[in-house]
Amino acid sequence: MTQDPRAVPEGFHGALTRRSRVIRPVHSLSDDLVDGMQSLVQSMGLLRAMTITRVKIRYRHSLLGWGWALLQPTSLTVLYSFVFSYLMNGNGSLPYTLFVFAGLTPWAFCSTGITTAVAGMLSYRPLMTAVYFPREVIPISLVIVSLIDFGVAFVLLLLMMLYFSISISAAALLAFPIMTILFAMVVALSLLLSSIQVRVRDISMALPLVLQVLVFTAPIVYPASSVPLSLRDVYWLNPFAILVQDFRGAVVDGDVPLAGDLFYCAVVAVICFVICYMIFKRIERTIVDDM
Amino acid sequence: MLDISAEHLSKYYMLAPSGGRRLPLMTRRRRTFWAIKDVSFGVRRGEALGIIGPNGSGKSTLVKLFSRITAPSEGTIILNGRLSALIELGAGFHPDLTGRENIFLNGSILGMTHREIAGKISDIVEFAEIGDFIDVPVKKYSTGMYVRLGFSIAAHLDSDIVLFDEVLAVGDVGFQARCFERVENLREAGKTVVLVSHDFAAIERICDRAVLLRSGQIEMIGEPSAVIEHYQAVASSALADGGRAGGEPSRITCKTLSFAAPTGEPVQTGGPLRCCLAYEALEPLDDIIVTVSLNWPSGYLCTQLSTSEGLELGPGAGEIEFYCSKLTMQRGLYTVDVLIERRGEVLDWRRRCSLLRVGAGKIVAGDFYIEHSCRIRQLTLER
Repeated sequence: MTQDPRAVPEGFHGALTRRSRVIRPVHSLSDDLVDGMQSLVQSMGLLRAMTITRVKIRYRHSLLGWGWALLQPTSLTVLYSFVFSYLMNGNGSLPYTLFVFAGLTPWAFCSTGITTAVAGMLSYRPLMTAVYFPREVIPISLVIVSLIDFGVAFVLLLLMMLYFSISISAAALLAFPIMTILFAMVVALSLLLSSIQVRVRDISMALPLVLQVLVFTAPIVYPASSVPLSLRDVYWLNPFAILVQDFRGAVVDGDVPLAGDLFYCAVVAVICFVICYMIFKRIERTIVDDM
Repeated sequence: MLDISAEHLSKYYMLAPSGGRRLPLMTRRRRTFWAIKDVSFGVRRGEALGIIGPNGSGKSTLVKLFSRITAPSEGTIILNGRLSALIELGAGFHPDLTGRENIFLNGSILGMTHREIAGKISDIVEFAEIGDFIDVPVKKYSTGMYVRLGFSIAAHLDSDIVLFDEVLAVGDVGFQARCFERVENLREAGKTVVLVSHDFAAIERICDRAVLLRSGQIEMIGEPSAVIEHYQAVASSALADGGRAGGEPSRITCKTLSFAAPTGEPVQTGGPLRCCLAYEALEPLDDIIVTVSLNWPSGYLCTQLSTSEGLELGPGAGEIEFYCSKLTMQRGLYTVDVLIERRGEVLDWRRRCSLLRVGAGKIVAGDFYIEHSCRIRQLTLER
């Protein structure tokens, strides 16, 4: 009867079965991870329902509707084209507008994904205090919504390429693995930041500032070739920089990225995800107490 | 087989002086508040357990620990089976979605699969009595429709253990009756039920055992009637000590109130009842009217014992005795108010100051028993 490594508490007169759930103040991190992944797989239906809801209601009462999905990358593109096209002259063959837009689309996904996930957690307070469900569903569904926005912007990017008469090569398909890695990174950061945000509300204040600075750590508004040689070793440690560069290279220029670069990013993404997810699960246990 | 077992369960919250966290330098001492302290008990499979207690005694915290909304600070919970908790009905509803869309959303939040929901949706809609409103955004719903739909979704979950936190008193009388019917069905199906409620009549009717919580600890556990009586007795003695709200000492105060059958038998329908009210008067008083109100568990007035005409009382202690030769009230637990007044001026008024338990004597259905007899008159006799 007490074969189970999770010892039976004293005075418990029933047998622990496979269906028994033991709730303690703190579970081991590995238990959290395994239980969490299991329940996450079981919660796919919920994830789907929540994402569909978000998408359905998001633009329901707005005049511009889905135009908003395009507005962020386009407005930034217009802004940056205006400011930088005078500074950066003669950047190879690409029109600067297209160059910036191709870099901003994946970046806009990262920044809106993280921002909405961090802001979204608290808005689910009434639900979270009334029913238990794996809380990670909230940030993940919000990141998926921004991924859908990205899809819309991606179509616009392809249309822009047609307009500038740049042919779309097969290498553009590599956008999928690149975006998958980026998705994992964004989910990891969203899990981490959204859970900490509930306890330390400074995150949502600092986030827009930090994101505004971070946009310059990747070759988005400037070409990678303008990074000083002495900084390049450090510069290319940043997986976001690699992924943005590879995304633009694959989609717009038709360049196949280096397998080693993508592998490095994938490894970093998985490590980030595991660490962030464990921290999230630890905070999740009592997250409603701080809401 | 225990479906829920709690072992040395505790939950505390840190109360920051001004709320929120600050940098360590600015941290002031934070107070620890124990919502639940060292609670141990089990709920057997197929049992219905009632949880009662005053506000802030930890009832809802306990439900939140069992339903995994928040984790305990100390101790262990073991659950055997799928648990669902009905806490705030319709908490997951999105106002802009239609009833149907919300059923799918809410159902999946509660852990149902898409197919499960699709199979049950007609039952859910029918139970909630929503009708054509099912395809209207829920923000257009009345409060009643909103909670009915919430209850209906949660009530159609396939769980082994169902927790109800103050949710049976939703909707109108008809819907409440069907909620109780639903609970009875769960019981018949062998499900384990935990009911948190201030509705003692419901606890007594549905539950096999009751737990009385006070300040996060178990004060009593056992037969629902005994636990409720104990709770009510403590609550009423606290009231009786409290006296009137007014500042100056009253000219007459009600000291104790007791009910008994003169023969020493339990008070029961169709039997006699003696009600004895002890008072203390500071000065001679005339024209005193004393009324003892007996209220249904639901709070509505059932009937009254009254002196009707003005009494003349001397100073000092005394007793007023009411006698009723045949009690027509139905079995149940009645709460008691006492009012002493003089020419329209309230001298002492005690709400819910005592309890009257009426046992099952003459058994009839309905609101009250009427003294009656019957005889047979044979008119024709066929072989």
